[in-house]
Amino acid sequence: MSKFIIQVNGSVYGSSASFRALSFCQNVLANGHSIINVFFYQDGVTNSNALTCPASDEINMHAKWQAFAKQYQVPLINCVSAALRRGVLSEQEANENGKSHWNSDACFTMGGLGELVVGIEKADRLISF
Amino acid sequence: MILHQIQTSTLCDNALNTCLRYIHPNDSILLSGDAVNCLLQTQWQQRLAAVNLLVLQDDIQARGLQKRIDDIAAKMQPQLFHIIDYSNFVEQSLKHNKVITW
Amino acid sequence: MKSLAIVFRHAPFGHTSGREGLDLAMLSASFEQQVSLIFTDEAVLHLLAGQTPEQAGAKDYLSALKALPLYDIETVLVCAESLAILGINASELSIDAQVVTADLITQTLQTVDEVLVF
Repeated sequence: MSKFIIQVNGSVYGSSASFRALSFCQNVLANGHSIINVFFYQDGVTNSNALTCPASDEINMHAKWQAFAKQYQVPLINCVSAALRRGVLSEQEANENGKSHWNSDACFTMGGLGELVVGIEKADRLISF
Repeated sequence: MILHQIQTSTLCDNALNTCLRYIHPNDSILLSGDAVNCLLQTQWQQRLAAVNLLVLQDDIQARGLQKRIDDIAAKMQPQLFHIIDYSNFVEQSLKHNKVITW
Repeated sequence: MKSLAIVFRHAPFGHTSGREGLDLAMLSASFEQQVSLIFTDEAVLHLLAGQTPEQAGAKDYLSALKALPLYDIETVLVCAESLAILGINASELSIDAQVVTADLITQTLQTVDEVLVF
């Protein structure tokens, strides 16, 4: 059994990288391996946006990541500085920055790049999408 | 032994070209996403002919390219051309020492 | 501790990837990882002197390149071929960096534990 850390740089809509990352994660677990965390960086942080509302016949990557994290208890971590720059805020960041709204879903944790680095240190493999 | 992942179209992005500049003879390339389209071009078939090549099946089928890629694969060395699924992608990432996503 | 190579391959300012790659490089180094930087393709333009990123709507993240030695990032490799394509001489680089052949970059990618591309 091997330990993976997954980095997602592709956005929630407009790129197919996030979809491939999720398919890879599902197969990591199906093959009996584990995932330390899925780290969202660059445009990848938009995957945590709970206000994503694609039409019902379109794929909803936000909902898919949320369901995956809930089913398998895999930590989803947003790079907080990448998220803030892109208008992706959790309730805490909204309060700290004087904003009356937030959009980052609670199943995504805000964290620092340090969580990616520590995860890389512990993992057998880093796979980026 | 590195698995180089290319996700983007060679007509829009230099990723595959850059990867080929630094690839080691023992390495492999995985084409996923729009990168699979490069196999339709003779110049990329030639530049990739000597590389151990993995191509993600879902991305070939999604684009309706299965028949075309099968025909192209028949011209490539069979031991160097592999159409793989996600489960095999996971195992290939472990068989190689690391994965670089360009 | 792991050894990480961070590869920059996109031009400055058109993309934020250079800036976000550099953030990760410095953060990794402050977490005691052994970090090497590799500049290739148009990303070698990050290393030209006299840039004013603000005029292109970007933060001046290039000045952070001068602080790399403070983070113990001593290996900065620049692809000679990319410099040649863009007509840049090694003497024109704004920081202390090694201009190297593709073979040396190949070797570095093989040796380090992980590689992240920006």
